[in-house]
Amino acid sequence: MDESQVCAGAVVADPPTGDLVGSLFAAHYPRLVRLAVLLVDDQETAEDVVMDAFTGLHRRRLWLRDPDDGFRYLRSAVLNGSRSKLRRRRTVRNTDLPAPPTTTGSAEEEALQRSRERELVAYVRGLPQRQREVVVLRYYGGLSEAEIAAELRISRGTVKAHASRALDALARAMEGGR
Amino acid sequence: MTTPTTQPWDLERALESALAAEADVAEIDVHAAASRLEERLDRSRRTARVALAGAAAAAVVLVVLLVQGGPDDRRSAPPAEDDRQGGQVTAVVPQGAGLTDIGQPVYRVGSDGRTAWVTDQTQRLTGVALDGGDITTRIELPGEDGSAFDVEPVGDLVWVSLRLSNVVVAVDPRTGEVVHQVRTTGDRGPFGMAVDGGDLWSTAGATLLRIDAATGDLLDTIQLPPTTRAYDVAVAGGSVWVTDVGPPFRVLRYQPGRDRLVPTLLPASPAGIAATADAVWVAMVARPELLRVDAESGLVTDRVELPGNGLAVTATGPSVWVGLPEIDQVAEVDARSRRLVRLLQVGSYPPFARQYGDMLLVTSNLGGELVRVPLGD
Repeated sequence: MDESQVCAGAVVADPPTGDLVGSLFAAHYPRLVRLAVLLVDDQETAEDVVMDAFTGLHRRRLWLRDPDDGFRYLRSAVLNGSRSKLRRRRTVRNTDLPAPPTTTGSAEEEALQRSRERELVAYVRGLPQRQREVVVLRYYGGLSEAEIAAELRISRGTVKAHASRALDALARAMEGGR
Repeated sequence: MTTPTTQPWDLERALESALAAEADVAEIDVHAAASRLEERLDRSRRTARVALAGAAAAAVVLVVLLVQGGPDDRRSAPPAEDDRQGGQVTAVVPQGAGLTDIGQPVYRVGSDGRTAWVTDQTQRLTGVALDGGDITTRIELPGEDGSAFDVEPVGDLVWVSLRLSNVVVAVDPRTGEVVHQVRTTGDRGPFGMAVDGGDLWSTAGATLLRIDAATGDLLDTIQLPPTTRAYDVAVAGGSVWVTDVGPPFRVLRYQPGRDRLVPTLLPASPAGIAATADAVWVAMVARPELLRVDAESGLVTDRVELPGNGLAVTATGPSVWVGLPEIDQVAEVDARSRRLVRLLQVGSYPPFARQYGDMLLVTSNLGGELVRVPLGD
């Protein structure tokens, strides 16, 4: 830590030296933003959510000893923060599904594949929030059912139910969208 | 596409691929994010300090009222001076005394003998008349807001390190124009600067720069060890000394004549550094000590206990001044006796104090003020 970091209002390019929050920031910030991007609809909001998470972690830093605890806190804070942002946003926006991009029918398989992926992501964004969280944590975060249950504070059975409904809805949507 | 309601495995694979691709679209600037996080944390610290100060003030008022049975202007007025000795506060600078409101949290100050030049958290350099304390000049600097940090008047120019813009600039205070600009390498700093003869030394990332202070020519770029996070710089004993906030925590000694670099390891992360005749003095941000490093041997020879964690260090003659912002004090250590000789209670969160003749200039960071403190015997 240096003078400019200690002084109020200062900004620096690097996280504080030797600081658990700083090392967690360096290690996990991009990953958490990418997770949040999938939970909210835009990167700016996602970064805002992750910033809030790190600010909260900083307030708790004196009680943190284990980086794993810190990461778990951050992941939970990102989930909760994303949920909160979406809840607030839904009071002012149209809650329709984001319009999926139309497929171009391009002959190039790679372009077509990417187009389908975007279509699928658009449908994921339109899932009910809990289903969306389960899908993102499972298929992007790589968490097991048990880990998702612990993260979302729901039972494993509920996780399974959300996952099943989500997959079914996505499959139907993709089928219908073709 | 064969989207499979009956083949969940394919859908799951598609999901993994699609979500990963979507997440990868996000272009994430970690450095910019780190800056934003620090801004947030600083605001948070500031709010906490204001709240704490408010609570403390309320508690003091309550105690006074309880003891006195009611408000009494004469008895509750702040003391102009307190002559306690022995590691205690030796003087309290009354609020408002010698004070110039800069209007923004301030960092460092340098003077050309007539004007004190102050950097603040906006991209601004403010000139304050040493005599009288009036603001005489406001110069908007180029680059990223919040960047202006260290300041060194040299001749007719004022040099400023713009730490977020990665550039050192020289400003002509008569016109307000930038007349020289030296871009630094890397994305960290420049931070501290030091003047030695006609040379201006500055630190940035893992480099040490030597600049001709008159012409603005970059004379030399000294590559420090790759892990170095150089912060402050001082010149003593023919060597240039750089604090590396690490890890590893150390002072790097560069000997220009021999083109040699020698490290002195420290017990904690260093902050400011300043030079006296035969030594450099190093403060540490998380340890209430000032270290004396012998300029000849490069060894730590003395540790002076401080009542709080130090930050910036300056030296004028045998007086070494250390900002102790966390306790709103600045400390004077006598380089000859290697003892703490004076503590001033001054301003709000003062990181930096620098002596010119019989006047001490102190930046009151949270107060957004420059405080001019006359130093009597």
